[in-house]
Amino acid sequence: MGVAEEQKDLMPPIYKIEQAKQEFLQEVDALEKDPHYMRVNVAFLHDGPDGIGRRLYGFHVRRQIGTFF
Amino acid sequence: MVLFFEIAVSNPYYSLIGTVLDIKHAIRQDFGYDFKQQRIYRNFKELPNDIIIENIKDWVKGESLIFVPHGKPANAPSVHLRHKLNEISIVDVNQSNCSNITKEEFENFSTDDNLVWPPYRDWVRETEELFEKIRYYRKLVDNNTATIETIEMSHLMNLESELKKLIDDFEFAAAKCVHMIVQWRTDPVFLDNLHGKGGNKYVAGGMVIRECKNWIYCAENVGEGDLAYKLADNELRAQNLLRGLYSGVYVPLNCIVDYFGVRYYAEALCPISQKTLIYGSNTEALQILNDKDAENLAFTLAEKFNLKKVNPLVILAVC
Repeated sequence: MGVAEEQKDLMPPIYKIEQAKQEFLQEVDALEKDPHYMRVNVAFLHDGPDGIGRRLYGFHVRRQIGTFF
Repeated sequence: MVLFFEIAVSNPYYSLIGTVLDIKHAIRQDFGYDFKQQRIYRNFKELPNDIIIENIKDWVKGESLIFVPHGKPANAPSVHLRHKLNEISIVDVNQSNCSNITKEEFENFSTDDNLVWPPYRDWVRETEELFEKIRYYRKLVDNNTATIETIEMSHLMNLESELKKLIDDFEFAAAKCVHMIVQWRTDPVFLDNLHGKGGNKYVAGGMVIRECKNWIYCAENVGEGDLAYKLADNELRAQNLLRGLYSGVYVPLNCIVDYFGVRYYAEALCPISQKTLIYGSNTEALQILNDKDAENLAFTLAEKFNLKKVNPLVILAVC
């Protein structure tokens, strides 16, 4: 078995990747609506495995809401 | 609430929610970069891990932090689930706050009582088309030692009066837009660092209107008042000096509107985005772009204005 074939075996099936992407998208949408979270955009400058050139991603971080007594 | 406070005291992570470390954690999870490999910057400075993002000085909702990795990801995942976002571009917003009436209708209809947005006009293209013709006829006139009766001189005069009319229209539309923005209390548009960083920006009638307040220059907020007004004046003068001089150099029309003591800087919209820059840096000098043609042009302009040629790295180091 060649290296390429081995890697192919290690990869999850495409439908599972699509399913995971959809679930992740739903999760992100839920966070977008959640007032306890805020989106912080992060621009990736250097070329990387996820793409070439400038890329922008949104990350949701928990925000401080309410008053401490 | 008391319970939450107890948790917050006992666990430092809960007392520092929404920090840069949270972002780094997410990046590590999604892209496989170790904490040591991650550098996150804003305004020329690397952000420490424990800083709460909402508490960063002059933080604006929608603003982008800049991530620069050190090396390749240590544990790169085979699949990237996080999807890329579309960055804001002027082309996406240039039709905002425009009416559908023609420019003649707008001129006739527009009074202080009639609150109508100006129609969309591509001011930059219109200006450059006129300047192209003006440069052509000016050359002819200069070569022929023309008198007032020659056809070239007549064309040149007509073109210059057209240009004057265009500038008047721009100033009229800018004043009208400012009036409308104040009257309607229009919400500002977030354009990040497009058309300058900081301050409230509004898009209307094919122009961007910046309130001369809280502009950010070299990572410093200049606030309100004389300094901000002087910066706006400098922008105005520099662009006026450069406009129409060279073919291929498009300089947007601009003007300053003083509305009951509050100043606004209006500039024609240019079709730019975060990815269209070819010379200089829009990432706080973390990435400096250098196009050969643009550099030659910069040197030509430097000679014209008797400016010293300086390596951009030196200027950015001073900032």
